[in-house]
Amino acid sequence: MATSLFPTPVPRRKYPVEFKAGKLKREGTTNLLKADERKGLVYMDQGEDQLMHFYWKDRKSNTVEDDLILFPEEAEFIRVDQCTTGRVYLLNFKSSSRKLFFWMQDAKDDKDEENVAKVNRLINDPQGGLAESRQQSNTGQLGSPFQNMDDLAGFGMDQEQLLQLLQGHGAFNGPPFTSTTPASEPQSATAATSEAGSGAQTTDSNLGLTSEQLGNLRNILSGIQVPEGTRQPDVNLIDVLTPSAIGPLLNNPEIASALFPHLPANIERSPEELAAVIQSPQFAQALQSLSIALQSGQLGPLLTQLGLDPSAGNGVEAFLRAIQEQANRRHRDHEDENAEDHSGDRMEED
Amino acid sequence: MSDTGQWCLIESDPGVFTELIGAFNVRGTQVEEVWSLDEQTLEDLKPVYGLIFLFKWQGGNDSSRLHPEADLSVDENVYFAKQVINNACATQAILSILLNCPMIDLGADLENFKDFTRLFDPYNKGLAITNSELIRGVHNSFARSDPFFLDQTDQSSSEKEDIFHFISYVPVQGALYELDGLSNGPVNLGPCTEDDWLEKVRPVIQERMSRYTSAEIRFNLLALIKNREDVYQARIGEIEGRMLRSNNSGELMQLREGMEQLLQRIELEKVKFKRYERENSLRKHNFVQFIYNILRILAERGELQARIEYARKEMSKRIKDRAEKKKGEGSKN
Repeated sequence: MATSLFPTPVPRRKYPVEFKAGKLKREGTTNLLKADERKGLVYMDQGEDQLMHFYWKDRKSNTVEDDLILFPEEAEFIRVDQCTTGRVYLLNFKSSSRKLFFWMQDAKDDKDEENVAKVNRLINDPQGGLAESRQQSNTGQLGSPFQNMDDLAGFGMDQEQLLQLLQGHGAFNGPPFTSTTPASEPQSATAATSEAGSGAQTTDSNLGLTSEQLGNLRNILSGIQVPEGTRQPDVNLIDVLTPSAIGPLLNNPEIASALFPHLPANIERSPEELAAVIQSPQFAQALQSLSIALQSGQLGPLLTQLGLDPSAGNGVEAFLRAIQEQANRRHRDHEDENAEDHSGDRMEED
Repeated sequence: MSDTGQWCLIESDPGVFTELIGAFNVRGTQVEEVWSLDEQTLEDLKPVYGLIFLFKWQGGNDSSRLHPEADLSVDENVYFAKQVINNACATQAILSILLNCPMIDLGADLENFKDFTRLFDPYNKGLAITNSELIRGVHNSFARSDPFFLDQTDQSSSEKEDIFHFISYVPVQGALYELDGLSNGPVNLGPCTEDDWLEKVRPVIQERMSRYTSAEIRFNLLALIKNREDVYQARIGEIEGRMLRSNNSGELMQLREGMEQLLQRIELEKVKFKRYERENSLRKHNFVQFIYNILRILAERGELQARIEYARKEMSKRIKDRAEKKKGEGSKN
């Protein structure tokens, strides 16, 4: 599904998981459970501390009664099969004897399994879980870093133009001038950017942004980084591609020659130079910038030009997962081809 | 409405500024970072055409408020331009020095520009800079390959894009001036000579530094100086002249040693300029394809998942550290 650039604000932020449920209390010191009749809501979300929280609130008074921080693998949410009178679930802490019981209050049970799976996913893999829920509710969330994107509509920009902007060959350096920089010539630009980049040459002048608008726009773009409290702690490419992790690969001639075409023109094509590049502050800067751009969630269309699934634009992890899936797919295709080769189907030579 | 065009942010780095000035066809200068204001450091840099003080802009205050008694009247000897847009300020700070320094060979382009705009008022001078295709073109050739400007060394401070502000200090016709495009006019800081202006400017800059240090605002100082290699070549020429005239073997040996040193320094300058060239090309390069291809290779080798897990751990560590830091700060208050 295409990400809407200018989402219509939803009245209330949807939590990564939420469902109607009441609590069950232990009676005294016995093992008997008694249902708390109040109408409640169980939901999970990342707190301002960036940690995963599990909440229960009273729907009538709208007060949060339970707020638990859950660390990965710390707890599990499971169905209590022994209870046959209702749909009862247990939040079971593995490290302690703490147990919290809930009974489902939604009339229909068709969503139960899905909700339980989501809770467990969010506990065990908060990042993956959050990314997934973001993907599913792509309609824009209040409180997401992208609320500012609404403001972009005021500039009369469409997604194409914003993309050009994000690619840097757009509005910030006007087209008549970019020709002076080798990096922005289409042939040296990446395959992904060359198309949009050449588009920028023609549409750029139509952007007609005043310096004031540009200033505002820059504030909005920098606002995307604002995060603290709102940004999901996605991974950073700087940590993925550390020099110590990729350095050894560069001695492999096959890998090195796959990377050479993507170096700046005046950099010598040698493994030593490659090693120097990946250790340079400029490369770190590029990793950082791309991480931020990916977190902004707006690079989807650009990434499809790399042959990636549009979901790759939903953050750094989503981007990495898409690359992995792409590699797996290629691997499978390759195997299929091989299988065909051996099956002797290719009788007619051409 | 005039078209002020679009200006990218550029990095405040001596290599960027040096190449930028060269791209204006200005000959024989370079920019060096100044790490200390002590006499020896400044002496080594001489001749210094001007200094650029750079700091994280806090908004609001223009620097003339620091000098309430200063004379802001526009002196026609001083080329002063108001800063019309923000991102141009690095280039504007450089121009403030270039256009006020008769010793510098500006080249035809800037010479024409200076002549053309000489009689403009400060606002129109600023507008002329902003609208100059030459100046903007050179400035923008240093665009990063993306509009995201972020300090990668300190991610916690990245809440808002830092806006940097530049102020130039330059001696013009017997007076020391502070030129801040956000100020209403050039700030005359008193009489000086070409020889003693660095001594005069030292307390002014020290005062600023102490203000910004106590407020934990990042700043740095750059010097626009005569091209080092030219300076060293000239000294070598002098030494050669003296060697011809001298027949004292002790003196000759000393001269030869001096020459050796200068040749070595020239070598170092050459290495430095090579490094600048390389860094600037990396700075301008779009790395998306490069990064994608490394990741693809890692994925094909089945090594990507482990990297993701490592990165996750690093990130949660960082978040924890930050939370703890915050807590620490909170309890202090």
